Amino acid sequence: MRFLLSCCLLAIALTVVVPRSVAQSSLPSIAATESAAASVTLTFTFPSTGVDYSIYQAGGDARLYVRVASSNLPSYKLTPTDLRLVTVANDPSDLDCVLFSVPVKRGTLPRIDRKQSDLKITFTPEPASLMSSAQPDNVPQNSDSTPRTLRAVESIAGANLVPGANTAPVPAATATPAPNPLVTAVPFDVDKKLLAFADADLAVPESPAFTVLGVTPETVVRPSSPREFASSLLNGVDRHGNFQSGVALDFAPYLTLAADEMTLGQYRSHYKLRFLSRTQFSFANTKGASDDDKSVRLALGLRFTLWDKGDPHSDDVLMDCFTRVGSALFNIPIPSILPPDQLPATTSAADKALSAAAWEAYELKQKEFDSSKNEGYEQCRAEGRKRNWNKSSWIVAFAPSWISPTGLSKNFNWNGAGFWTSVAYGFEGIPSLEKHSQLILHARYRSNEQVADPNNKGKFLNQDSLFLGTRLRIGNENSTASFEGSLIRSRSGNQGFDNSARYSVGLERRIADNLWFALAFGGDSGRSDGENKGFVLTSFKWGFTPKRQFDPAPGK
Amino acid sequence: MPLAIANLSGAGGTPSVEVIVGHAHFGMFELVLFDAAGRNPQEIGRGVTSDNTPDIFGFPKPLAQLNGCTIFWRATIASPTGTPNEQFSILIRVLQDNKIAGTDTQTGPVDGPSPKGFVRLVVE
Repeated sequence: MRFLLSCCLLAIALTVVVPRSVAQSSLPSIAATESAAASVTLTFTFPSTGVDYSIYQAGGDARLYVRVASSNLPSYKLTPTDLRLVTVANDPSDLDCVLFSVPVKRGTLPRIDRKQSDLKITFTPEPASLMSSAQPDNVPQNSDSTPRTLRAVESIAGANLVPGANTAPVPAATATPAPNPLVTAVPFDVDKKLLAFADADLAVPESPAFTVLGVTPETVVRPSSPREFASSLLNGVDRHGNFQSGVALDFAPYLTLAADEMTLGQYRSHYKLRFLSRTQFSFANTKGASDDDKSVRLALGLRFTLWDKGDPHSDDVLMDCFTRVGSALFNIPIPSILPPDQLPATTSAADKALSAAAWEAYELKQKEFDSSKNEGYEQCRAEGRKRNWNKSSWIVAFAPSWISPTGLSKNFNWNGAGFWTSVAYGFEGIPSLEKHSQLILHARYRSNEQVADPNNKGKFLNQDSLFLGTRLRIGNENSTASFEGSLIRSRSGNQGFDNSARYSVGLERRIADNLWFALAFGGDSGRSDGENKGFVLTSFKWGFTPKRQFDPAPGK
Repeated sequence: MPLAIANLSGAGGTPSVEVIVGHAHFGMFELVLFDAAGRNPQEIGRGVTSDNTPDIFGFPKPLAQLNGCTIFWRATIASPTGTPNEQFSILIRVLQDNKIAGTDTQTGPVDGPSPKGFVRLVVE
C-alpha cells in the first residue's frame, strides 16, 4: 500500500506548480486516495504550548505551508515515515520565519488537530460532494484541542505571521504572541541623520618629544588623553629661523601591550588603570633643512594624564547611546535549536534541516545589524566629541633629548631635558563658553638645551629656560583657532637672564578621519639679543591603531 | 564554527561564566544555555561592560544537569575613541572553584562582524 501511495504522490507532484519564492521541490504531493487507510499525517511538536504559527495553501493550492517563527522551531514527524515530502526554507518575506511545505493534490482537505504543543495535520481523501459544500463553511476554530479542517488560510495566535502575497487574507488573530524570554525589545531610536564629515575624532595631542625639541606649532601644550598610537610630521621655520623637518611616533604602552583583558568597567572605576592607560611614550627626531643648521635632534617623551573630564570612556551619555544602538542585535531572536554542526550526532536530518534554516535566517539578520551598527556607533561618538572636545584636563610630562650638531650619528650629545605641565579649563557650567572655548595654562622648564652661540659661529651654549603661557582655544570639535602668549625667562652660558615674550596664532583642523593639520605663526618680542624672529610651523598628526591578525578560533 | 570545551568537575563547586571585553571597549552581550539535545535555550545573563555590575553569571541549571549543554554567546562591541584599525578582544570563560574550566576568545576589527560563539560544557 505504501508503495502504491508513494507512486501516486510522485506522479501527482510532477504536475503541481509551486511558488517561486520558496525552494522548489521534486518531492511527491500528498493526495487523497480512495482509502482512508492511505492518510498521511504530519505532526509538529513545538517547544511549548501556545506557539505562533500559520497555515495556508498557495501555488494554486498545490502546496501547504506551515509558517513558524524561527525562534520557536518545532520538530516534525511524517507518517508514513518513508515519505520524504517536507521542504524547509526561509520565508523570503520575513527572515524571522521558516516555512515548512508539503506538496498536496488540489482539493485535498487536511484536518488539523492542535493539542498542547503538538500540531497534527492529517491528509485524507476528500469526497467531491463534501468539497464543494463544506469548504465555505469550514471556519477554523479557536480551541486548541478541537479538530479543524483547513481553509485557504489559517492563522493561530500569530498576528505577526502574515503569509506572502500568494495567500488569501488572514483571519484576524486574537491572541498576542508570547514574548521571547531571551529577548528584551529595547527601542533603537538613534536619529539617522547623516554624520558631518568632521565629527569623528578629537584632535591628536602634541607629541611630547616634539614639545621638548621646541618644534610644536604651539608653545602651550594642550592636555588630553593620548591615542594608542599617533604620529606627527613636521615642516616649517622654527623659532631660531631655521627650516626644520621631523617625525614623531607616540604610543600608549599599557593600552598597546596589556589591555586585552582591561574592561571598560575596570577602566572607569580604577584610577590606576586610567593613569596607566593614558600614559604616553614618544620618540621624535628633527633635522635642520638648511646649510646653516645641519643638526639632528632626538628626544624621548613620557606624558601622564592626571585627569581628563573629556575622556570618552567616562562619558555616560556616550555609553547610553552605545546601548541603544547595540540593543538592535538583541532584538534578533536566537533560534531555539543549536546550529547543525553543534547538534548531537543523534539529531535527525529533519532537525538539522530545521536548524540550518533557522541559523541562516539568524545570520542574515545579524548581517543587517552589522551593516548599520558602525554608523550608529559613529554618530554616538560624534555627539560625544561635541560634548567633550574642550573639557577640563591636566597633564604632566618629561622628555630628555640629544643633539648632533653635525648631523652625524657619532656626534650625538646630551641636549638636556624638559618638564612641563598643562591644565585645561573647559568653562563647564558657563553656558556661553562651555561649548566653544577652552583656556589652557602651561608651565615648562627646559634645562641644558644646546643653542647656537650668536657670538661664535659653529659653537653651542647651554641654555635653561622657563616658559609660562596661556592659550585660548575657540571653535568646535573639528576646527579650532588658538591665541597664545608666553613669557620666557632664559639664561645661556654665563650670561644673565633674558626675559622675552612670544605670541602666536594657530589653527587646527581635522582634514580626514583621525588626521589633523595644525598651523601656527607668530614671533618673539623683547629679546635682549634683538633676535625677535617670526616663525611658521605646520604639522600633520595622525592617530591610529596598528592592525592585528584576526583570529576567529577559540582561545586555548 | 569551532566549538570550545569547558571541562567541569561533577564533584566541584557551582560553576559560573564570565564575559571580559578588553581594551576598555564598550561591550553589550547575552549568554544562553542550550540543553544537551541542542534545544530549549535558557538565558544565562546579559549586560553591558560600562556599568559596575560584575559580568559573571551562574547557570540556570544545577551542575548535575549541565553535561552536554552548550553556551551560546553573542556581543556587540564599540570603541569609545573610534580610532582606525582598532581591534577588539572578547573572552568568555567558564569558572569553577576559582579555576578556569574553559574559554572562548575572539579578536578582530571593532567595526567588523559582531562576535558570537559556543562553549560546550562537559561534566566529568
